[in-house]
Amino acid sequence: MVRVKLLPEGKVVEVDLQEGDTVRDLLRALGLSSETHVVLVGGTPVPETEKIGAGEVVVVRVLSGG
Amino acid sequence: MAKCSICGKPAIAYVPYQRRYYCAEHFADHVLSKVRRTLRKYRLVGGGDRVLAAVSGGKDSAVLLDVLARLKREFGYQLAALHIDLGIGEYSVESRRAVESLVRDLGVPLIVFPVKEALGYSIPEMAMRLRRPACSVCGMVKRYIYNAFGVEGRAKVATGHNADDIMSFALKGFITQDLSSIPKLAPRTPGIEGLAAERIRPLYSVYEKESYLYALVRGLPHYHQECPHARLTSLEFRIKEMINRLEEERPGLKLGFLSKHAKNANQYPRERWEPSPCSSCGLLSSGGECSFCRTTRRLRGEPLGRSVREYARAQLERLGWM
Repeated sequence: MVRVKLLPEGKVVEVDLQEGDTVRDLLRALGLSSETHVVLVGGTPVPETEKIGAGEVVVVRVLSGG
Repeated sequence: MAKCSICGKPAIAYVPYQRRYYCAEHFADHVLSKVRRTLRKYRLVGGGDRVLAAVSGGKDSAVLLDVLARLKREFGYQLAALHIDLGIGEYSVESRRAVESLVRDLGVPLIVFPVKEALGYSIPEMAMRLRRPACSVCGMVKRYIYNAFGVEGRAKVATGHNADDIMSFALKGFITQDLSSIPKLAPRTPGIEGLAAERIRPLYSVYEKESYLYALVRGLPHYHQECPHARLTSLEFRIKEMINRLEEERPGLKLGFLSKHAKNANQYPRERWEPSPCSSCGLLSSGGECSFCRTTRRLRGEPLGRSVREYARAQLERLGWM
């Protein structure tokens, strides 16, 4: 189970991941694109191809404006 | 764990269109060299130029100011920042605070234009009185102020438009068949002597995600909140999301678009009006009084273009740019 904080809105959601799932899989499970979102673990950005385990992450939407 | 394709340190980002991983340091180099290439390829700056960077407090203009400060010596231009305090409550207070801390870190001189003090009303107050959408009033006021400072200071005005802004703006122009708007956000828009300042867009080829990551790894002070008037349901925002779904499937799609877009800029129909001097302030108008002078006349009983130009001259004098 990963606890995800979505920024800039600040909403918190929980996502069930399989063994070996990557950052991109996490974003897919949330229905988000890896081109428009950055995943931070402990404040550091993580490439979308990295595996991700249980714990807490921050997902930042990088798109602005409209 | 993925390693930087250059030095082998832990990677913080993957760039799919290059199939490369980067550590923080080499990612920042990657973005800086993209900007350097844009400045050279489109001849955006040269020795002796004055560049006035429009900084909002958001990530893109923080990146703009940082890269322009780093490349200043190499290209030989002078650099200053211009921030417009729009008077949009907490959002503007935080944005201005971020800008002040950014220019302090980078050692770049700053000019602030306080909309409410200078024009009598904040942007939301103007919008309410005029019964117009805040974003349309805001865009018009900002364009006028940037232009007035650029013309008075004989400076190029640099904005932080990134690749995603440019492609979504062009695609919106196609979808709405407003074809003359498509080439508006080219890498540069030439100035018109005495009427309009040259506009340059150094982040033309920098993806929005790259801009965010650059601001993060360089620790650039910025305010990552949306303007309360922005809407995530707007056509431009939805187009950005759509373009990025395609980019995810076809890495490099945006880059391909951009280089063709710059090349084809003069293939689109031109606007039908001829530029002429505003009858009140003397800056760019499509005939008669410019929209800024007309609007301020409605709000305040007199056009304020001339007083903005005077304010600009006083501020630029302080910089030694007059």
